Formats: sequence, structure tokens, C-alpha cells
Amino acid sequence: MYFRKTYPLVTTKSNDGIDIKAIILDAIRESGIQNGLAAVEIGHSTAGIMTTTDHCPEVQQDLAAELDRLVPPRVNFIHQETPEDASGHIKCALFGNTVTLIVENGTLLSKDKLGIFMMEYDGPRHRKVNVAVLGEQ
Amino acid sequence: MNDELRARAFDSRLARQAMIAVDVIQAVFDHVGECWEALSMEEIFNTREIILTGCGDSYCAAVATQPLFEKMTRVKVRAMPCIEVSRCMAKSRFGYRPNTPLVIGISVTGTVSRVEEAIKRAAINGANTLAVTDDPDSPVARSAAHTVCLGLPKGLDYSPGANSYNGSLVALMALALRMGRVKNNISEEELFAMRDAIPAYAAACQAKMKEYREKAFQVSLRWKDLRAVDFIGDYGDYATAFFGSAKVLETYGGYTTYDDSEDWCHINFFIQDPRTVGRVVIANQQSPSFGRIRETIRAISLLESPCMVVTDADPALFPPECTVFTFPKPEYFWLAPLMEHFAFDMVAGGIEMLLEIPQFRSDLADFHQENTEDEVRIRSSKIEMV
Repeated sequence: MYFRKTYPLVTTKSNDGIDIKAIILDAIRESGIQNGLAAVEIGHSTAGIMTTTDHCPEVQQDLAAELDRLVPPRVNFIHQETPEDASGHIKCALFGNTVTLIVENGTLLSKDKLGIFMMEYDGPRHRKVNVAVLGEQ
Repeated sequence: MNDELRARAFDSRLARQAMIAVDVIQAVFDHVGECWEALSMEEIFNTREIILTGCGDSYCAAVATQPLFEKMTRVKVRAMPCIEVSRCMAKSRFGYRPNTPLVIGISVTGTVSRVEEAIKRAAINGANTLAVTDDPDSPVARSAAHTVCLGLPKGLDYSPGANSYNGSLVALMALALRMGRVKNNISEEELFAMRDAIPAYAAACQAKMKEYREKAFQVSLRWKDLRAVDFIGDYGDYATAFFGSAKVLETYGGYTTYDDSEDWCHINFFIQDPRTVGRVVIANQQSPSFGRIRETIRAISLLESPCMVVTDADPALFPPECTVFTFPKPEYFWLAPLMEHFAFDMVAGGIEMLLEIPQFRSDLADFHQENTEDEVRIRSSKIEMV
């Protein structure tokens, strides 16, 4: 069985990390699928999906700072739209905009260990996250 | 007054320009696009000061867009008369930092000597320069390091300047928004919303243009014999006051003056015989000085001057004896100068026809000087580097 749902999100700034675990669990619940896979994708090229701990908020702060150290917005990109946009494309390409997660017994296998975050690299703006659940009911 | 004269006054050149304004704005909007090519991101970030300059209508365009450039770039922005940039401003105020100031010279034809001179002087003294012009091969464009070309539709009558003025405004607005976006002072979504608001606001005003035209014609009939016309506007709307005053001179050559609302109360209030002086007040509700503007209108009313109010506010906020042109409320305050000038443009165009005075005095011997036309005054003035 295949089930897909799109969730709109509003980000408030660049390098904003929005916890999206709840919407993934919502999609799994709505799909009725007990065992299978959940694929999460953001259909934008200046935003991404990442997994990390959701127990320590300071990790998010470190992540945001590290992202900007690795690929800072700067003026000498060849792509001259804006510094935020150009660095956002690179961050998205480096860190990805999809994750695949294991579904067991109608929930995420790593529900209590992993946080799943939508990363905004060129915000604020309106984004859409797609969640597809594949498996057996 | 015969019917033919009335028809000519109703269908003046400025009225005809007003009726197609939205098409010209859309054409320029489509042509200038997002101004990606105009300045690199590095140049935009290095710009710590902007000087907007031009002559006549182009100086009005500088004044009208100064608030938007300030809001978008968050650096010091000044609209300066061209003669100050080209002759009077200290050289040390150019090039004191890389790419600073950015001197934006505005000239639709690109042939105005003083704009060319201002750009050249800025460039040789270390400033970055950009020309806003309809002719990318013009002397003004060639003098500047960068050019934004308006792309005005060909074959239209742009004299006296109204749609060409709008062309400059649209290009400057697009450039300011581009700078704001690069500096991340607005998000991509805000950029798109602001950009789309430009033609949308023009279209909303255009839908009421027939109504304005009829009202303007009635004002032309009442005001054609007034001694002078006095314009009042603040901040970006000061440009509209200046522009209206210019149209009085260009069309029928009448006496005119313009001022901001505060200075008007100190100075122009005292013009003798106020019942023979028409007053045009730009009174937009989003203006921080709207309260002062209303006080000024009250003073005008007590003087019993004929008064025309151009506003986006409820007409009930003004004395009943005022003739009120109510424009749609713009989504962003900086859009207002784009269309509000057409209210008086059409009045001036109508008076020109009713008085049967040739535009720019083209048939009057007094205005024909040796070496002809406006060449010596505007286009062939000697360029000096001081």
C-alpha cells in the first residue's frame, strides 16, 4: 500500500530547524500502515531534511552555526541571486532533502531516539513537506 | 466654449497617457525583470550610501523612490539635484569606501548633459555608478559602470513626461527591491509580493481612470483662469507635488510652486489673494505626516483657496469644499507616487488645451533662442569636471 500527504510549514528565518516528527507520525497513523517505510521529502532546493537528537536543543543551535561556518552566505558565488539563496542551494545539496525511516507497529522505529527536522536555508518562507508511507496494513 | 475645444481638453496628451499607463508600467516591469544583471551581490553589499540624481522629472523619480531604497538597503540614501552631484558636492564624498556611494543617474533619453557629468564625476572620484535610462547606448549609459534599461514601448507619445516618469519609477523600484532581497532584508516571498504589487496597483488605479478623467476635466474648466497652482506633499509624495508643478509649466506655462506640508504653513500660506490660487495636496493615509497634511488642508479651506486633494483616504476626512480624487489604497506606501500624479496631470493637460497654449511654448517666438530648441539648455550644455 502507498499513502502520501503534503504538509505546509512556515519558517521564520534561515537555518531554522523545525521538528517535523509529529507530522510524520500523523501520516503513518492516517495511512493505517503497520510495517514498512516512511519517506520524507521537501520539494525545494534551498531547504532540507535532517535527523539528529531532539533531546538537546543546543545541538540545533550548534548545527545552525556550523552550517553557516561550512557554507556561509557570501557575495562571490557564481549564482548571483542572493548570498542566502546561493549558500542555501549548496547546503541543500550537501545535506540532502529526503530521509527514509522504518515503520514498525504503526509508528517510527526510532521514534524515541531521533528528531527529524526540516531545515530552512533561505527563509522565512512557506514550505511544503511530503510524507509517503509504503507498506502493509 | 465650443464642443471641439472641450473635446480637445478632455482628450489632452496627458489624459491619453493616463489611459494607457498600466500598459506602459507592465511593459517596463516585464523588461527590467528582477534587475539581476544590474549590480553584483558584492557591489550591493559594499554599497554603504546611495545617491539618486537626475534633472526635472528624473529628479522627481529620485525623490519618489528614496524611501523605498532606504527601507530596502538600510543605508544612507539621498535624492540630490544633479547640479549638486556634478558641480557642488565635495570630491571627498565619493569613493571613501569601495563601491560607495552608488550614484544612480536617471535620464530617460540618456542625453542630459548634467546627468552624464554627474556620473562621470562620481566615477572618476571612486564611486560606483549606475544609469537608469531607456537608451543603453546613450551618453549617460556609456558614462556609467552599469545600466538598467527601461524598455519603454516604442511609438507612443511620451511628452509631456508622465509614462516615461513611470518607467523610471518602475525600474528604480525593481532595483531597490533587488537590493533589499540580496541584503536579505526581505524574503523571497516578500520580494515576489512586492514586485507583483507594482502592476497590480497600477491596474487597480487604471480601473478608476475614466472616473478621474471626467473629474479632472471639470477641475480644468474651473481652474483654467486661476492665477497660480500651489502643490503640497511630503516625503515620497513631495515628488508628486514637484511633478505636478512641473506639468503646470510644461503644459500651459502657468505660475506654480510646491512645498512640503510644514514649510507650506510657514511660507506659501502667505501667498496673496488665496482665492485665486489653486492648491493641490497629496494626502496619503500611510504617510507619517498625514495628520499635519490634514491640518494644512484645513488652513487652505479657511483661506478659501480652490483645493484638490489626491488621497487614498476616506473623502469624508477632508472639508466638503475640496475636490477629492480617491485612489485605491496601495499595499505598500512606496507605490503611491506611481499613479497619483495622473490626477493633476490630466487637469494640466486639459488647461493647456482650454487656454490654447502650445506645449513647451513651441509656437511662441519668445522661447526660440539662438542655437535652437532645448539643445543648449539641456543636451549640449558643456560638461565640466570640477
